[in-house]
Amino acid sequence: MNLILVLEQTLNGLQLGVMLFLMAAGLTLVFGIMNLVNLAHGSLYMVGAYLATYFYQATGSYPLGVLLGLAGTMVVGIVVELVALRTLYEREHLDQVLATFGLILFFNELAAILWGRAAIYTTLPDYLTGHVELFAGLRYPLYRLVIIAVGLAVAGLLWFVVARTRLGMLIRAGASNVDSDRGVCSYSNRRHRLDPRRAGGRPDRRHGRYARPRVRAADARDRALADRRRRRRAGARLDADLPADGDRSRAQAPGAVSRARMNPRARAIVLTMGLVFLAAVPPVAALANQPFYLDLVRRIMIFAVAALSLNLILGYGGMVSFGHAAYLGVGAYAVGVLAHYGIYNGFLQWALAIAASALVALVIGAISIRTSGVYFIMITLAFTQMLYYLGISIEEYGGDDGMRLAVKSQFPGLVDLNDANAFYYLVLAILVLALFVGHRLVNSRFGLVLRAAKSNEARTRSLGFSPYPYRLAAFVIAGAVCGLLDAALAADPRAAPGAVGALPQARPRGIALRQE
Amino acid sequence: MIGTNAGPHELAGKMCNELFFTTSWQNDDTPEAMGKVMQDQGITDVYVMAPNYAAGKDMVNGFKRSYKGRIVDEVYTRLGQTDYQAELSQLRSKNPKAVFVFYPGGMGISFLRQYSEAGLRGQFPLYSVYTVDEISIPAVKHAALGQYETRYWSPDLKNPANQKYVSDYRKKYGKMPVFYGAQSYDGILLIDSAVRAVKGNLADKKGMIAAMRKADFASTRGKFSYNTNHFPIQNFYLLKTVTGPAGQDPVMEIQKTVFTNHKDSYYKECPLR
Repeated sequence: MNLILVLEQTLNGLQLGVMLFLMAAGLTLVFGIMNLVNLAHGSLYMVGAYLATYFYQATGSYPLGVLLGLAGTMVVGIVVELVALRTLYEREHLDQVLATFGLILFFNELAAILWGRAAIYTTLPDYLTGHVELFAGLRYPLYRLVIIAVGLAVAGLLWFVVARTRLGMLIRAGASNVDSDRGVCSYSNRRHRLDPRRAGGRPDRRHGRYARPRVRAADARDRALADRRRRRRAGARLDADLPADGDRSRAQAPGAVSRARMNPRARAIVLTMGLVFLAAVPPVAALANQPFYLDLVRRIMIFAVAALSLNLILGYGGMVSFGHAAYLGVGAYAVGVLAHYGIYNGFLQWALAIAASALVALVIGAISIRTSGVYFIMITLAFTQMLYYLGISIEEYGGDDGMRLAVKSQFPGLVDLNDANAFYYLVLAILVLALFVGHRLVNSRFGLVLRAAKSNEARTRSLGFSPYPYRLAAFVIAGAVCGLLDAALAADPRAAPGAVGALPQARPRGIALRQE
Repeated sequence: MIGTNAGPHELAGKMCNELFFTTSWQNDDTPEAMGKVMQDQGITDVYVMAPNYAAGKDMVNGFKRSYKGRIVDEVYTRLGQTDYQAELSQLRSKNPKAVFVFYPGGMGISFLRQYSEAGLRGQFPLYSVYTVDEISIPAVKHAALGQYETRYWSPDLKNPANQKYVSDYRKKYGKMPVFYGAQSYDGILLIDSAVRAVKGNLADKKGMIAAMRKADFASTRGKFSYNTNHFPIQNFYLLKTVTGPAGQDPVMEIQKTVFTNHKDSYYKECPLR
């Protein structure tokens, strides 16, 4: 430790902070003022980086590339707003999350189609490379200093606009009190729509870009105002016949009702056909000499059980958990750790997997369920990330590489998992059991309370039920089912050599909705 | 199964399999060669950096097997990391005599660029494995100049098979081939030689294995033979990135042979004989 290192790391921290600020500034506007959960914010960042790189390479001029990249991203932002986001303002956070997650997938694929999957590298112009000797011994890359300067300039500009101009006053008024703001500026409707373009053109360091957020904050506020007004009107109508948070459940209710009212005979036929189909897969696959389909359907069934358990808390409990993958990881690690110490007894392994997942679900649930809505999403996501980093940092259990299972769980005298058919039917049995138990559960008194709490928490309370223990119980049950599943997944021949630890890694990745 | 790239130590040792052949290398080989170069040059106080995953650790283990001098620090970074500024600051403060890194693919591009930008290029000599190659040179250009690498193959290796491969590749794709291509090219030749040996009778697994063990094909690396664990016994060279022909990217050139007919360090653990 010496002074130069401290100074240099301080600069590094400042530079990283400025980068994050540039990203967060736009998101704050969208989420903070417009109350729109835009998971695709990072996609616009990505689009900005790609466009700027593309234009830079096409024109050969760095400043021109950045400018065109900014303009291009702005256009993309406007299009996204017109096509997709505009329909989302009045909807629930859950709808926004799903729709913007779809946008992420869309943009990722689009970028892959247009530019390929490999990262594109670009070089900085000569006048931005190299380093500056700030004083004896402290050399710092010029480009990073430029990023800091640009970021601070943007921050200063934002501060000036928000704190010192009439526009800024209106924004602040809009953020804190919609009514007063509405009174002040009734002209807002006429003005331009908001687009999330301020998200775009942001630097992706890998591509070596920086950009200034274009804050058309007034537009943001106007847009938000118009929407809130509309929502209020709509809300007032809803309030008349439905309690406050009932609109979403009402939207889903018809589906649930029709499902429940499905002709019992038709239902029995569908179920039987499905079962027969699944049961027939191994002999058919064997006849066709295509063992691949056996594996495939088994994996589908395993994930179907995972979806069932998620449905219990999400579909019936109304808890949008992004941490569901964590229990899968915990279950896999339970099996892996026991195997690591030479314990291959499947009864013990699977029991521990279930118990460990249930315990983790209990802890996460006990904390998370105290929140709701978008905060619940965030906190479960945060827990998943914590577990993920815990997993990759335990060297004893494989760290980043995960664990390898040399021997599958053994169930002496019951079933041999090395026999693909036996394993398949075991998974099928688990699926049927999960369907049956799930069905009984959601139609039991417990399930009814859970569903009631979802559709109207206040009314449920007034009936004398506290939703918290019911939700927590559902959360723990779902976690335990996942633990069982992952014990099964870990025994999956394809997962086995591919490292158990890769599971917690792969899943939160998939679910964490990040731009990589 | 034919592997044409990564060579984890498990596959070369305890978990070796008679059905598995590789036309590349065992992970530890190349850094072992670099460790020997640095050991022979009498370099002390080396700072070691690699991504935190199986191959990263194999590489550092290989390096330490032949380099016996002092290691100032061993730093493992996140796999796929793109920003190394914090680690580079740390490196500078430790003031080592030399730096050894393993950063394959995109990580190498980011690392080399930032190493130069931070002004470390002139300060601490950088030695690497799998970091500078014909893929990364077009991206980093002069940031790679003067870089030392060890490798089993190089485009300027003088043998007929390699010269044909390099000129055919340049004709078809208009750029320099990279070692990944050379070892995959060898992989196809290996399969071809085995299929010919059994006269297309692919059910003859024993015959295929026996034919593959002979490695009877004109490899791009010249002489090529298999060890008992089905990993190649081959030479390793010291390469340096030097200025290319006028107006073109830098190229890598062989400086000297480090290992002749090198066997990996794990074959004795392999039960195959």
